[in-house]
Amino acid sequence: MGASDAADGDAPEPSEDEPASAKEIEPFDDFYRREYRGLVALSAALIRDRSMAEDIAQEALVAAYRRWGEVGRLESPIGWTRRVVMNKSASFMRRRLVELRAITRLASERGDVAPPDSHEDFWRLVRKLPRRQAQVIALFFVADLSVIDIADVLGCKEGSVKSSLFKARQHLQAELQPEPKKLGEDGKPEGEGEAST
Amino acid sequence: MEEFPELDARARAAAARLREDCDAPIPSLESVLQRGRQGTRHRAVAGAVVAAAAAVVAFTVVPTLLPSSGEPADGGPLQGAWSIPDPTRPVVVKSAVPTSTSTPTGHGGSTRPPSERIVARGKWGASVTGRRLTLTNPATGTMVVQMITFPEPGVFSVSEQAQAGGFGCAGTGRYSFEATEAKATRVEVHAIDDDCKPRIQVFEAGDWVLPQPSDDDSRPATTPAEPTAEPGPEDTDAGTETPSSPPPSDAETTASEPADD
Repeated sequence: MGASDAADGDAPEPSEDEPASAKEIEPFDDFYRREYRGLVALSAALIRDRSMAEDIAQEALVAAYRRWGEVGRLESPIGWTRRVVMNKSASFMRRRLVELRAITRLASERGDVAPPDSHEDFWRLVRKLPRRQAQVIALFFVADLSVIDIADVLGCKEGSVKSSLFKARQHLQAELQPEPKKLGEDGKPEGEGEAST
Repeated sequence: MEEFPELDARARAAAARLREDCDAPIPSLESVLQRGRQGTRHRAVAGAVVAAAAAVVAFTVVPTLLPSSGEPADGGPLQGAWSIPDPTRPVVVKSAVPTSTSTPTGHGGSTRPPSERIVARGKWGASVTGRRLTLTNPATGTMVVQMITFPEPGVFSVSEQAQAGGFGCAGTGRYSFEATEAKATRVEVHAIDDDCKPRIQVFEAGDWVLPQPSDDDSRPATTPAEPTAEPGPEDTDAGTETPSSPPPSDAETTASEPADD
């Protein structure tokens, strides 16, 4: 898929430089059933709202369906569809940013915070990354794509993907690193042994 | 590429868990495509709505409470799709956001200035999923998305996103609701406290009808069985003019912006 494809809102134009006639088109129904869950997961990595992730995946699939004559002939129809998911998820994140911050604040004030969940914690950190880094992480780990394929989906160069991936992992590693415990005067971590007194 | 073995292991575990969490039943292709067609129809109708804005008022509320699709339905009987059988009177709605006509190439969409007034009337459908309330008027392709919470039994609060337009009301509205028939099939809604007149007009236009349990679609917001309660795919976050709103651009607007948390 061409990197410079303009997007219709969120759906990129199928690139003209891709072979369009030689490939036999897969029945859309098969494509839909095979890819649906993966697309939901991909979107869910970037936005917390699972029902919205489903909506986004469905919208992307509908967009693919409408152009299946073109999209189905692309070398990677799923690449095109993933790109739509990425775009729609990014749009959603942008619109909801302010709202989510407010809700999070209110929930915290009310003590109505979701219980800790290590995997959700991880994705929460991912969502705080710059958008492109978050997308790269989602595509790399959730969709299991190679750097080349990620570059294809995002329409950027491999070097850019590698750079984003490196920075994102570096940042996530730093965030996930357990903070070293402060040592007390006795050389033990603070707080230890106090309960017995 | 430098390796981050611990991080990668955690990321892969988180990804695996995410995929497991997304292992819900796949909706039928038919229902998804139907929803897509509805969105197309909404957009087509929207042009006519704008042209005849003085004559038509439509209002639909879609409560969207963000997170957690599997969140408990604290709204009790209001969860799912409802409809209002009686046409509303004309409702004047301000659109707070610019709207655009979508084009196949996205970036080229032409942006109209914010609509000052949009009016619509007719039968409305509503759908509650989690904390999201979506009101739709299929006749005019109008949709309004609201966030809904249920602070106490028989009471719900609605508010709208600052950026999405909706009714153009900044404040929160509080409403009481009460089942008026056996099996809670009809629900009366009354404003307790709301400065938003169009919203009041919509909610108080008539008794809301809830679907019989046997008719209820288990996933009304995404694959509604009832067209009147179905938001179009491009409509989810827009205001009352969503059918004509462009799909959000994928322009690089927030490359360094933190995401939804």
